[in-house]
Amino acid sequence: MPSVIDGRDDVELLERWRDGDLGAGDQLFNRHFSSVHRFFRNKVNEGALEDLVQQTFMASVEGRERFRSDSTFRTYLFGVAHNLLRDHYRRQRKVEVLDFAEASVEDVGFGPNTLLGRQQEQRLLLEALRRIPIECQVVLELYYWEELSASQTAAVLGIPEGTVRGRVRKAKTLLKKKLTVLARSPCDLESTVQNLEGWAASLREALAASTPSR
Amino acid sequence: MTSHRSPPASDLGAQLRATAHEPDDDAASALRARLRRKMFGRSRSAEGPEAPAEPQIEPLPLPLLGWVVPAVAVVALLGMSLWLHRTRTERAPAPVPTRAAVALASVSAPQAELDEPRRPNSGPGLLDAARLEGDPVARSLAISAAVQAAWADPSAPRRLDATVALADRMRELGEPSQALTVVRTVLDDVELLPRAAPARAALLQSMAEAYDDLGRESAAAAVRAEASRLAPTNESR
Repeated sequence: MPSVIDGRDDVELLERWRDGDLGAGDQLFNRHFSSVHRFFRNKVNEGALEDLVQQTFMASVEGRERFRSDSTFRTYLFGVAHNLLRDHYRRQRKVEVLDFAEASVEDVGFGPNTLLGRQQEQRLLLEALRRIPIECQVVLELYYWEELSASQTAAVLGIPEGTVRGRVRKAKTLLKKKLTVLARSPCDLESTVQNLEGWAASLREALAASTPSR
Repeated sequence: MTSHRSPPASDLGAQLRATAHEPDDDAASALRARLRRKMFGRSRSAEGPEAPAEPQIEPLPLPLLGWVVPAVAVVALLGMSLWLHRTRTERAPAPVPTRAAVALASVSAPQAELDEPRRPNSGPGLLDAARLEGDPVARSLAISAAVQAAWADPSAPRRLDATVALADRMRELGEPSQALTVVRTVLDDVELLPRAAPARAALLQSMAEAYDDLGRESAAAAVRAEASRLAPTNESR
């Protein structure tokens, strides 16, 4: 969980990894794997997932000079991941410019790796996320999944904080519309909404149980 | 029947948060373990941080690498077959060895199928001699034979040289993806060894070159950087 990670420790581990301490690198990787994996998993195919996760960590240690001490390592890491995602789409599409404000993951032509959520409601949400513009998907995931603040999200994306707030609002509106369209039946949609608190509680318990071993 | 309506915006936030925080599923756990092995040389069963590996050469144990031999051989022959198929269509008058000849290129007498029987038939010189072979078809056959010979030798450096040579040949044949497969196959096992950094570096350099051929510059850069970090004095091959 982001909240239990000490930013200063991350920086220290990054420095030690850069100096050749693989144990430090492994520790840093293990801390942040889930976040980076989650960032890419609903955006690229299975074949690209492994490369992109690895490249993100490798690029983060290689580009250490670009890491500013006034940001957290997580912010820096997501910035790297975001740039690699852009490069990946451009390379795959063989175009110079891909408008993240318009194109969605679905538009770009990448299918989901697997249906991530085990419950129907979660699958519905993940599917809807893939159908909104990529920049909206990214901002929502960073804001809600990774619990980055608006200023941190702004640092990741290289945009003003006010733009982030506006983009979150726009993204939620678009997501609601997609959810409405995607819900195969009114019951699906109702269940999606009503079970939110139950999922949150069960997932928090699962997370609490799994965190110490990581 | 419930009415069809949009979820409230506040619920969307809670729903998003809830969806994010699932523990790793099997696929994610497997990927986490695989990348830890690949990047940090962690053993399959290891959990938590441990002391960094020291970069020093260590013989690669036979049992660990034993299964790689047939995999490499199959990939080598597949690459050869593709190349020979291409050659047949492009060089009609030239006498080209048959697929059977490729398969029969043996460890003990690789030059039996070739035009020039002047190379050594065993030892480290075999691969070097094979690389110098002028005729492309003969060179492919010679390298294939040298690779097989190398795998019959318990000396780890020869095996690694053979793997890299094979990957180089695949790239020459315009099959960088197969070169990647060859290197990855061996790398997966080499990475299980905590002190095989030089070997890993050599393989990673080869992998970077294959990525170059595939036009995957960022992947090549990342892999090359890792190779340089493992063996800082190692020159690009």
